[in-house]
Amino acid sequence: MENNLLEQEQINFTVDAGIINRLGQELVGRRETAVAELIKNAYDADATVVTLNFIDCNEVEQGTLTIEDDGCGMNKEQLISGFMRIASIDKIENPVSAKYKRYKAGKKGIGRFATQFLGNKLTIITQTLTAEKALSITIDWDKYVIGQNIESIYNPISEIPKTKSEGTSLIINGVRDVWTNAQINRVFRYVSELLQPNYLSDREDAFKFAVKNKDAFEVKFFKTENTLKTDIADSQKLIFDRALAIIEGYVDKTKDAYITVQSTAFDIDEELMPISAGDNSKDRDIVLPYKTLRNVHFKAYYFIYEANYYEDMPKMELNRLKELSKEAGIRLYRNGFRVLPYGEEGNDWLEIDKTDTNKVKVLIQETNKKIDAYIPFGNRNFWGFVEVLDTQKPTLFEETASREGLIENEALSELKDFLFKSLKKAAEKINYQRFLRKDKKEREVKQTVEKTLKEEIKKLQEVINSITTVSNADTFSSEPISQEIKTLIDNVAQRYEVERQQTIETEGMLRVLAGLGLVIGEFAHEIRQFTPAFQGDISFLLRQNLPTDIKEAVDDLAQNFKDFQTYASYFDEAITQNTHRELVPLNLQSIVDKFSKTVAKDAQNSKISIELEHMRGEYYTCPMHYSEWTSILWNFYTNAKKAIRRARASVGKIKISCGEEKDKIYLEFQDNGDGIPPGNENKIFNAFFSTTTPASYTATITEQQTGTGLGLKIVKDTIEFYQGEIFLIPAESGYTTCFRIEAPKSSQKQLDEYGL
Amino acid sequence: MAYNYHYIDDNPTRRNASIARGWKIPDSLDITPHDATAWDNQVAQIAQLISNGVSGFILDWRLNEQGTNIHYSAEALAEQIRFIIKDQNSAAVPIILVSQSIDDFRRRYEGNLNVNGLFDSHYSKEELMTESNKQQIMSIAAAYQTLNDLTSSNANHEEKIQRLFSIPTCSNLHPDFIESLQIKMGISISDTVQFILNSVVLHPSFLIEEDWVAARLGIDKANSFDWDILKNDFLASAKYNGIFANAWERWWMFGIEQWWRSNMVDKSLQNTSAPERVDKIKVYTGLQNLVAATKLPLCKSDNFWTICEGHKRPLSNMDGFVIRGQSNLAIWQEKKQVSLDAAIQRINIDEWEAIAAQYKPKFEKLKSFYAD
Repeated sequence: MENNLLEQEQINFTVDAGIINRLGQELVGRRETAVAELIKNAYDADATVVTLNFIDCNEVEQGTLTIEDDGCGMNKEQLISGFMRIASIDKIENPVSAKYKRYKAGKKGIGRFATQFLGNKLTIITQTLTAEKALSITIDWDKYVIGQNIESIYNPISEIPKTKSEGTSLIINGVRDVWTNAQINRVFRYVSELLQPNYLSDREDAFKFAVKNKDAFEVKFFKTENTLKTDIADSQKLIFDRALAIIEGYVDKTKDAYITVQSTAFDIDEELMPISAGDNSKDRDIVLPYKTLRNVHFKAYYFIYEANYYEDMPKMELNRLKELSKEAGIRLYRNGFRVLPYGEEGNDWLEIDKTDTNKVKVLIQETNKKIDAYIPFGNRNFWGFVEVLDTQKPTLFEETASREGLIENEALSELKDFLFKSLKKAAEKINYQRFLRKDKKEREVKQTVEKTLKEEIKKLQEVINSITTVSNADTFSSEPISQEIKTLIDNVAQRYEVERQQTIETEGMLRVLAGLGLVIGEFAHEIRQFTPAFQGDISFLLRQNLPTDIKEAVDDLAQNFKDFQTYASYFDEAITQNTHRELVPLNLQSIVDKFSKTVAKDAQNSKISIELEHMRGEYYTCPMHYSEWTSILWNFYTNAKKAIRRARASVGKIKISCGEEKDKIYLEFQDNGDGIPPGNENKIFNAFFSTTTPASYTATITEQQTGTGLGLKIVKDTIEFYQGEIFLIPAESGYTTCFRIEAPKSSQKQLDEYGL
Repeated sequence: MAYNYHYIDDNPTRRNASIARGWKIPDSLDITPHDATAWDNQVAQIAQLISNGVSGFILDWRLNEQGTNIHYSAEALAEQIRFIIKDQNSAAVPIILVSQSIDDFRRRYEGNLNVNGLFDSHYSKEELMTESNKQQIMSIAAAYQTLNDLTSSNANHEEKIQRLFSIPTCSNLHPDFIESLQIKMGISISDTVQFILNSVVLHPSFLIEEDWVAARLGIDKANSFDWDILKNDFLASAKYNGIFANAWERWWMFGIEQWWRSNMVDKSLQNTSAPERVDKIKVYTGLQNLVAATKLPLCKSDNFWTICEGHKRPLSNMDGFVIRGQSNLAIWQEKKQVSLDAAIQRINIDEWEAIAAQYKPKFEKLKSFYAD
């Protein structure tokens, strides 16, 4: 203790230097907060770009973190009374930033502690626009140890040549923690809520806006290891890549309004849909231009906060999005400047939330479930901005005296009208596509059980992984996480049980069929021994001079036997092919040609004509088993025969076509039978679905087991095993049913492997 | 005089009898079925049959399938037969292979279907029930008899060939062929039979089949009502009458060329377009119902000289792609080809399988140009 103090009659508080560390721990707490605070400080300083660089931060206390901004910088006075004064009131006195009038984001006075939290040494280099030189101050936090009086520790300050026109650079040495990519990313996401729209559209030039938005604020993260610098996170990509749809619209100088909608998720690529300024329903059919509104341009990103709309969105990212959605809304910029409070948190200036569409639901027949008739349509579903060029006198808009908002005039209500209608129209378009997509998804049913179980396990793994990265944080609550894990594990277990049951049932079914198959194989083989003998005697008889009636009988015998042979030979070949267990790239044309020759006689007897139509060229499926195609074609054929019989068509017709389309080989099988009743298109592929009357208890085992709706299921399973698809498509004129199979094409590598 | 083949199979007796019945031609072709037995018995039986005199043997390929005491293959038995014949100094006879799974046999012995000279021909049991195939095995038996007679005769080599091929002179045969034939005749009769059958009869050579004749005369034979008259009357002088002629109709190419040059125009057939050929033939023969053959799709020339193995229609050498497996052809043999269109569409691909490797690049280039 200093002698002076002991002798004084009036004593003041002193501060132990250890307070720096304590305040750092308590006020800052986590490294995300630390970094975020420093970025917010740059934001408050009217910076447009803040660049962070984590240099060699892969070893404790060896790395450096630099934070550079192009804000207004500090002069000496500001440095001393601001940065160097703990608990300064600067932020209270100046709640908005000087240049861009930003509401200050940084929490009061945390910045310096943040730097101490991150590393053991700090160098600040700062310069203002008007200063001739830059200021440099270096603070060694290790000097601020317990037992020292805080005011007795001095840090060198000097003037150095300016490094830029204005702005501040923070150089934090001796970075206390190791920073992995994942950790840097987490911090990045944490600060993303600060991001001002830098996502202005590219049409700017086309519309000749006067200035690029000066209000933009961009954060860039870099990592440097062994002098190699890499970009960590791209601001725009992070959020807006996830948008389900991008809506853009404008009102040109002739006051005509248009929008475009683009969506990969919903498969939309619409150009220029007109928006009518009309009010009542009659006028909406005719497209009317606006009366005063012109030179407006907007861009909005649409989000739905439900996981099933996104492919591969980890739950944490979705939660993050949901959190950030508070900041959603359409912001207004006029002549380059942000106009508040439009688009601020809680501001629904377009009255989107008032629309009641969310309550309507629709029943989907296939699944017997009700879904939202309309996609979510609320203020928080749209992130975007609208820019208005309003420099022509007289101006369209006028700002209120308090500078909070614009005066309610015709232009403003037309603007609101335009934006509301645009978003509504886009939502309708998306909604329509959503229903179409659902139909398509019904067909993609194979990505069902297997994928869901995988997904559940994946989610679980992700949560577990994220725990290990959070393990450093002590203020991070572990309660919600373990609950989350529990739920996920339960989901996995349930899904597994369901799957297991299905597998057992399927296996049982397949066992029965396999047994049958073996018997058939044996039979087909045995027949071969007998057929030449039959032929020999028939051939002998045919040569004899027989009485007419006996000759007729022999002729019939010969013909019947020939038909029998044709049938038998088809299976015979399938059996022999089965002994070759190889998968080979298959040429569908030859398989179909062979098949049609085999069934030609039988088809003729059944009064069915078979037409073949093949695309020219040589194309092969991915390696498949030859006999599987035998089964598939046979199955289609027998089904077609039954259908044609039921339809009582005078002439039955079958058409088989094959060819290649992009990277798929397709086969289409059509018939003019009684068709498939609407509603059954997907059911026919289900096990045991059959429209024929079930075999009675007196029927033979074979009758009971075959023709009971297993055929198409097996065909589907077979095709899907090879990552192919089978579905119904509209048949050509003259036919009623058309099955289409798409199988992957073999790659050049596979063809080379098989010498094709 | 009927040919008498002995048929050995491990099937039950009754089945063998039925099959044999199917193969017979009363008074022409006799088939005696035998149940295959254990080796020693079998060999003894065969030796006896040979010494009694047989026209040939028909062996089932898979002899060890049905019976329990048969542990040898048809190949082994065939070898033994050849041995016995030599041993006994008996007349050589043909051995025909039959099988229910003849496709397996053909796959197994691809490129060596005679199995090193053991078998003269091979059929499925059904195939042998057709008239044409029965004629074939009779023809082979006849060929053996002719050669047996020739071997024991005093004729010189050239005379033997003349008698074999039923020609007055060997001057139209390539000297290389004559030499090769001489070598074969020095080895064995079965070598000779198989050499002639495979080299000049079954493969286009100086002897060609009907489709080739029509192609070379530029005629669309399917649509020419006078084709039969032309073929049977006017081209009779070029008709082949030597061994195998009963079962395999062939014409002498040099005979065709000679007929053309001496009667129509002294310019090679190959250098004349099909329409011109047909015009001249019509004028000479007076036959009006002869139609000129037309080019196949994607073909450029109508100087037809060969047959497209896919479409089975006339093709010029210029438009053809040689089929694979013909890298060892003799100088008197012609290359089988396929047209671009048939190759792209894989028409009849089971017969020709693939284009020869050296022509593949050209084919691939054209294919990508023309394919859909």
